[in-house]
Amino acid sequence: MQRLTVIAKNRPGLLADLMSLLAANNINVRDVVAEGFSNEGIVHLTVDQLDAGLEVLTDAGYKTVTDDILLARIEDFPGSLALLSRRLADAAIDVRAMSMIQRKEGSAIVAISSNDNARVIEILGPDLIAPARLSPK
Amino acid sequence: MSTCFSDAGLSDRDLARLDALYERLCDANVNALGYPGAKDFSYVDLAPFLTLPLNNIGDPFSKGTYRVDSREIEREVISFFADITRAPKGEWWGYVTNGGTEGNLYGLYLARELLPKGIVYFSEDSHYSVSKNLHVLGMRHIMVRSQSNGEIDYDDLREALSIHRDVPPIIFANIGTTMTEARDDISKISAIMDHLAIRNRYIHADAALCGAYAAFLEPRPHYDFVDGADSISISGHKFIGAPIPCGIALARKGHVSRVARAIDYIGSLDTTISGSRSGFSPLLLWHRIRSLGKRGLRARLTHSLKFAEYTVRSLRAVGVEAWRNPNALTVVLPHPGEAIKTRWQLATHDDIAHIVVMPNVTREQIDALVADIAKEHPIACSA
Repeated sequence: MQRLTVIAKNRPGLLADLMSLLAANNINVRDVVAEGFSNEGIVHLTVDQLDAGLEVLTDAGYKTVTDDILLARIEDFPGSLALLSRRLADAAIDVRAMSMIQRKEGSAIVAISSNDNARVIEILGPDLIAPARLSPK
Repeated sequence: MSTCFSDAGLSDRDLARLDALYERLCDANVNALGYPGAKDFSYVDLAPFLTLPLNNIGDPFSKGTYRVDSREIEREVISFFADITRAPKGEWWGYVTNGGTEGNLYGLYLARELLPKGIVYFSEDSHYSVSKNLHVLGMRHIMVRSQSNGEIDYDDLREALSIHRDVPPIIFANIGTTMTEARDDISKISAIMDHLAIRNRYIHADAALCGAYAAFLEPRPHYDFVDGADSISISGHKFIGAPIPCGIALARKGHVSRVARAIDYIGSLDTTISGSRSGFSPLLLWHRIRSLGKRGLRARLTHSLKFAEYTVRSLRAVGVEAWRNPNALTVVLPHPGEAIKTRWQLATHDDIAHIVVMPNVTREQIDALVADIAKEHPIACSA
């Protein structure tokens, strides 16, 4: 069992749509944790087939990431991503990729791929939208 | 019995499959308005070349022993694009690629070799292949915010550059973003770096879509070598039109020579990404350039601009909040319903879709699309 995180426009029926889509592709969902932030919904799913789940959701147009990627919420202002990058670089963390995947209402969700996720979690702490923070493994 | 492929030496069943595929493709080709591929071309007179094992191995400017090639033609093609992108005389180099992504990979590769510790900056509206290329090359990068029209946010870029002032920047500029055809201004970017006294830097221009016509726009966008680009990637199968994806990579010769010298351990000064390269693609581009000339390309651009404006007006007339960037061939509209998206093969992203008004697009097609959208549920017609 591994986790997927979907970032989508918050709307009634989002969760039902995700569940139906995964069920239609014979992917079992063991655990769901959903967060709503005004316009956006973040849904953490524990599934039995990680790669298949990622493929199905991505093909359906959902922004989906796996546990390998950490998600952070930062303030959206000029230089905010560069500042985050500097914080990690100063901690000698090798950031492989850092991409903004959503920007809305003064905040941005950033996907971070690094050589040391544990250390990133330690440094960014509450800024992270980590499934680990929301439900036990 | 096949109607089109009777002499192919295949079984009737296989011929029937080809017939069916050809029919399906011809049908699909008619209403594909969401992707930037011009269709007003015919290269049937080049068919005899398809009987030859053409291969433009390695550097188009080097001598080779394999003579079944079109490198002479390829050099003319590159020279044409060097001219319209105002490459410094005698100080440029390039080759015909498999498409815009390879040209971008090449530009980033040169940048990495020249500035191994550099950080790549690119806007959030960049094509997904940029992240893929950066991953392949193992380059550090920072995404920069975009403005609402898709153009890079210069304030964010300035802040990001000043925070990482100690690291040489490699700027990946979009000269026509995928969804909105926004063009980053290389002159403004250069001015920001000048202001921050950053001398050690590299600018790559991803002009996949606009590179074939930006030189003919008035005002001319700031995207080329005179504006400060170190390398440029242009697609051949988009505005120019080709049955095979192709493109052009151009770079300052000094950069290429430095990289070539640095990798001479492979026993060759060839810096192209592939070894064997298409000898047919250069023929396609050459055919088009020679038959149309700058005048023909300009005329096709004028047609596209006129009908892009017409598309915006027509959509707005039926209540659709359509818009386009200045001098863009891409018309942006709210995401329509699935039926329309499928029928017209519209590319969508988040809440928007786009129509790319290539030179082959007709008034009748636009009218039919607009009529389709107008018939749709009113929700699709609101912003």
